[in-house]
Amino acid sequence: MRLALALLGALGLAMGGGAALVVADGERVRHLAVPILSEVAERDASGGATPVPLPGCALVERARVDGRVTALHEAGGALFIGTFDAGVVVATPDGRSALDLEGRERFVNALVEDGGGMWVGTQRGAVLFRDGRRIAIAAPGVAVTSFARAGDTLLAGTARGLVRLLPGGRSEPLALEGEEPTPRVNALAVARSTLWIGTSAGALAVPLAPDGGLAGPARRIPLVFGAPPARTNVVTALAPLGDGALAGTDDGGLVRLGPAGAVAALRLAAARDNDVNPGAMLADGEHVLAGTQRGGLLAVEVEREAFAVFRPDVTASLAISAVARGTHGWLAGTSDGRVLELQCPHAAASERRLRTGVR
Amino acid sequence: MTSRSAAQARIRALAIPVVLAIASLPPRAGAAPPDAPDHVFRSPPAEPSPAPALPPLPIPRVAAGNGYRAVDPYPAIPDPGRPAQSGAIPRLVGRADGKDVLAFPLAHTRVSARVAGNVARVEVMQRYDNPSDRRLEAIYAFPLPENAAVVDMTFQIGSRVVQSEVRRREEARATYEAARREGRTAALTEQERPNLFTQSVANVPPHESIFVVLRYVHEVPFLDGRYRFVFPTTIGPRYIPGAPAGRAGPGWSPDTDQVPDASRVTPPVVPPGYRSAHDLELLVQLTPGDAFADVSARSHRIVTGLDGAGARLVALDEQDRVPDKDFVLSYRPAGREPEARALVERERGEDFLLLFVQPPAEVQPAMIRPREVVFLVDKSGSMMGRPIETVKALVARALHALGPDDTFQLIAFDGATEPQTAAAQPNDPAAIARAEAWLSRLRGGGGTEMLAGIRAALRTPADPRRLRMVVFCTDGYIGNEAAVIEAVQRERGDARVFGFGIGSSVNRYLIEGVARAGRGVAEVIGPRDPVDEAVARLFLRLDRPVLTDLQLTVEGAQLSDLSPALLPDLFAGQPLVVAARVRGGAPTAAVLRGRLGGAGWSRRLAVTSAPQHAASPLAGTLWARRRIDELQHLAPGAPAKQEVEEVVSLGLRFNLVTPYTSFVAVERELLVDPRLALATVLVPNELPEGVSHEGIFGPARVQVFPARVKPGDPELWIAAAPTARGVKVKLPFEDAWRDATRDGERWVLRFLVPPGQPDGSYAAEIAIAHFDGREERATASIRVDTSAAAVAVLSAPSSVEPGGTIALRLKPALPLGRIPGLLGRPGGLANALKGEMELKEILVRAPWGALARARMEGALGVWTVELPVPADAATGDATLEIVASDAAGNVSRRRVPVAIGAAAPVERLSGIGGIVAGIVLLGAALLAMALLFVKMGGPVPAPPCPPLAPALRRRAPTRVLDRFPQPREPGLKV
Repeated sequence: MRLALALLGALGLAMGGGAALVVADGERVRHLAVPILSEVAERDASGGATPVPLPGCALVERARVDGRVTALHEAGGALFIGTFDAGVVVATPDGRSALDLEGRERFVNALVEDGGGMWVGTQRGAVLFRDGRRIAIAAPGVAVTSFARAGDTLLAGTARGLVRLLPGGRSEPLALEGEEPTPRVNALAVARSTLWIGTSAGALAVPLAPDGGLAGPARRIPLVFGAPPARTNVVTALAPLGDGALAGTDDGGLVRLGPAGAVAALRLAAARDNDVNPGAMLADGEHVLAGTQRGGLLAVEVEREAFAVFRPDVTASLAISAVARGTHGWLAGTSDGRVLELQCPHAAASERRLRTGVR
Repeated sequence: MTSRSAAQARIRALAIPVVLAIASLPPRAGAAPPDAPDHVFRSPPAEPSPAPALPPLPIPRVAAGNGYRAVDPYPAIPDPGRPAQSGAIPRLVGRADGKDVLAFPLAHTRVSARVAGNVARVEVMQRYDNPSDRRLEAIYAFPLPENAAVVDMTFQIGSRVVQSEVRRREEARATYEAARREGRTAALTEQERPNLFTQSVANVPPHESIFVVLRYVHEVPFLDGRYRFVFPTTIGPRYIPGAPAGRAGPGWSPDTDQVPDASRVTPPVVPPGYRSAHDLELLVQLTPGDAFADVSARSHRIVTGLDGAGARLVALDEQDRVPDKDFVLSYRPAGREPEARALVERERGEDFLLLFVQPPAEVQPAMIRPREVVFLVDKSGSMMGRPIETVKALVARALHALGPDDTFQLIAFDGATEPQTAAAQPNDPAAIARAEAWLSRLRGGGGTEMLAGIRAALRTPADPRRLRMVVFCTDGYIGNEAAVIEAVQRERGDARVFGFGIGSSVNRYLIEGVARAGRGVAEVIGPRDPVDEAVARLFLRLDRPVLTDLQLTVEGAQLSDLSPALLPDLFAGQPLVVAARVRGGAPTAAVLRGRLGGAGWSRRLAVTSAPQHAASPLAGTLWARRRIDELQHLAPGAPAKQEVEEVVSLGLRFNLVTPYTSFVAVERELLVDPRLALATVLVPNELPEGVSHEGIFGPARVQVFPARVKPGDPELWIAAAPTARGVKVKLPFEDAWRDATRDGERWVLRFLVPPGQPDGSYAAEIAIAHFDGREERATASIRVDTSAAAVAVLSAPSSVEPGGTIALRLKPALPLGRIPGLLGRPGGLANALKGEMELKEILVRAPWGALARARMEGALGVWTVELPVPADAATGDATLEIVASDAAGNVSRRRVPVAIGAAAPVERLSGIGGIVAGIVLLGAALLAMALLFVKMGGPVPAPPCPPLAPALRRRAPTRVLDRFPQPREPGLKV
């Protein structure tokens, strides 16, 4: 009885106080939550697929740098190694050098070769180098997270939307019709006639004109609705897949995006496999490679409606933070600064693998 | 006696010796012929009599008292090589205007100027006192007009007057250093920038004073029908970009790779809450007095009068003598505006031409092209407060003055560049409204990476149909002026750049340089100048230049080394002033040809010769000063040896201080005991009026981006004062300290939150080491958040007919079962609760594919969403999917059943399980959490680039985002 009275008294005080607060400081009250007794959010379904071990791959260390490797590119005998916070190291048979980057330009996100020059996507803009010399900076001050080529057009994803990189080092912002305000772009992929844009609020699909220009409004595709839906909307990496794309997410595994906007998420059993590192995806022939936070390198094979996921044995315990196509095989950069070359027997997508690729 | 009458009496007293001195001089050189307009190239005024006519003036001290105490002014940093001995200077000597008054060695500055036509001769007397028992060295960085030709320096100590010599800079410094070591009293005048000089005086004997006298001449700018005589009184604290690279001078900044002499151009400033006892006395003689009209000064209170010789005298009011802003005296010619004048004068055995031409006033409107106007706005720390508000007003007015075919773009910069739009936008009401809203959010703060701003304004692809005009608004407080001017010259293409100096003590060297390099016009808007007039003048010039493609020749002689070397296009109200060498005879006429609108234009002027054997010719000196400027701008960053030698040669020949020549004066007699300790004191400058000390030297501001993170790679940004020389960070996830990287004006660290890090708020420790030895500490909160907010359904229909609308009312929910798990979280329960309640987006999807985003409404912050039900929707049970996301990207999901096509809809409360108990607890929890929330400081700020949050803030109506297709593509089997 005393408890009930106390409760009622407290209730009266509380309601009065709360009402007073509403009047006095409505802005703060607006953000308050309603207390509820029981959990209402759905629990994530447990389980998930397990990548199939892929034996027989060889791993060779090509280089080692200080800090996390975030981007790789090999061309003309030179290996460009972009790092998390230590710029770009260029390794050649003659030795090593560093590109001229300063401040937040040393926080590297992406690399792409274009017309004999090398674009470096950094947290402070896209910096163009030619013959080792710094030529220009595009989108200065803005984080450039990703590059993609659509025909002759080189696109860059930035913290303030999409830009087209022009010869000579200039850039031109591209408005994404239907997207206000301009979203932060985490990843880009060009798949036939569609530009796929990865953001922290899902993916955007933009039709492309034959010349690489944007041919229509952007369509937002949340990853959290689908069959099955993903448990996150945060896209960290993208790779083209036919007219669709395969998205890597921050902790929701892989998500297949159909050309018409269908979503199908592939959640993997081990949590470590579901964190795809920013920009760490590569479409290479019939494979899509994805570098994960702690689950090594995933090789995805897709055939029509099915896809299978393999993991080269030798990468199983690695944190793969960058992937690229190298001269002799796949290149993988790790979070502890190694650049590895991975050579696997040609992993043709066999019927058997498609049936058994994911358990 | 009132203040004003006292000042007038003072004018009379001051005027007498000046007039007497002038009267005693021989006939002046270059006296204008009787038929010449009085106000154009009238013979330069004679210099006031040199020493010993330097009576020690009665210096009005604000207060004086016993028991002085020493104060360490921040950020006055002693030269590490010559540490100042504190304890004697500075001293607290009184209180005025609510501020403590500090006495530094520089006690008083007296300025006497004589102006005739467009030439001024100015004498500046600085008095340095040594109140201590030690021998004193005082170092004072001070401003002069950007076109000042410093022609002489002397000093007087006791009854002895010591004349200076001009020497190569390094020789002059070596002489000074030697005298300093030997105990001989010496003075050294060096140029750091065209408008910034350093005066050093060594070995001021104990309890004595020294008077240093500088003399300079300069052209008085004439624009829009008015002359503007400017005397700058203080130096704004400059932003220094680049990486530290040693320290050669005594300033608060180290030298850097981008500003190699930064330590010489960053003198200390008087600390907040103090002012210096140094005051300013200023007297301007406009001669003859009847040649000028409408004499006024918006910058200061003045008193005026006529002296016995008919000159108009202008003096500072005694109540307005704090040297914290430019003195700007404006006046117009009393008669008809001058149109043209050419004068040849012989100086140092050579003839020089000075030419002045006003462009015609008419502008053909039909010739005006549509414009693309780019407003480039400096929003750095020094612009905090009044200056940035002035810029906002200026730009807002200018936007409304644009023509219908014009486009515009706004770009702001501090340490980073922030364009309002990616490209120029058409001039329509909606665009202007957006621009004004964007402008209103601008705040001063951060560094001044001006180069990046210039590039952003000039590198955007140009619209071929429009003429690009860049309106560049800044106070100009940077140390890399040459690089910025060079960048404008290199990048401008067909654009024109108009320099708008904003503030009370603008860096006019930069503003003028940018406008010249950008083929535009410079203008300075002081705190008391009306913005509307400035906008009107701007648009008068934006319309187009009046005269273009100008070329100058003379008859009867040849011209060489013209300055400016390339004659600029002339805008309305902007005269052309040219100086040149004359060779091969005596010119009889000057011919100027160009284009007016689309047609040819020419003007022939008779050349007047100044009388021979003049005592004080100036044409050569003014030409040499201009020539030095031209040479300095050929390759500002790395001048060629040949150009340096020509500057040296001009400096030595015309007795000028230049970047490579200095004045040095040394007393031959030993007046001070060299065994006495030497105190070296830097004289601080007052912070310019209206400039915020907090905006420049305030404590470090720390930010983490994004503010809330899942394990990932956020960045830590530390905006520290420019005196910082290193920043270390200890992350909560690591044991060792890490070095932050300097990134323009800020320091940054990119780091990883390790996977598996428990949710909570963690403190990163930050240690900032300053060049003056201080260590500043700060913390940054890093919030790790991997749990998503739940959503309560406050109301939902149980059934809806096809063709109807489903309306949901939602609210973030806090399941009480989560609270125990929050109790032990790092950062405390309050932070944990805040994280649990936070929501950024709610999406709702119906089984027929409709997808809608909820919006937050009302005082209670209820999220509402409406979903139309198609008329052909299948009847029966349906399930709505609700997905909520927070700022870190965490997602929660729940489902709500609804019957389609059942009986009449009934509102219900649903989905909170235990509704009654929940309601009972609601009030208590509301109060408890509200109190917590108040403590926590309010709503969560939006992250830097939220994709959707602004739309929510705008309370836009619910938008059906898409018909979300069911995956009819071949089922993606997994």
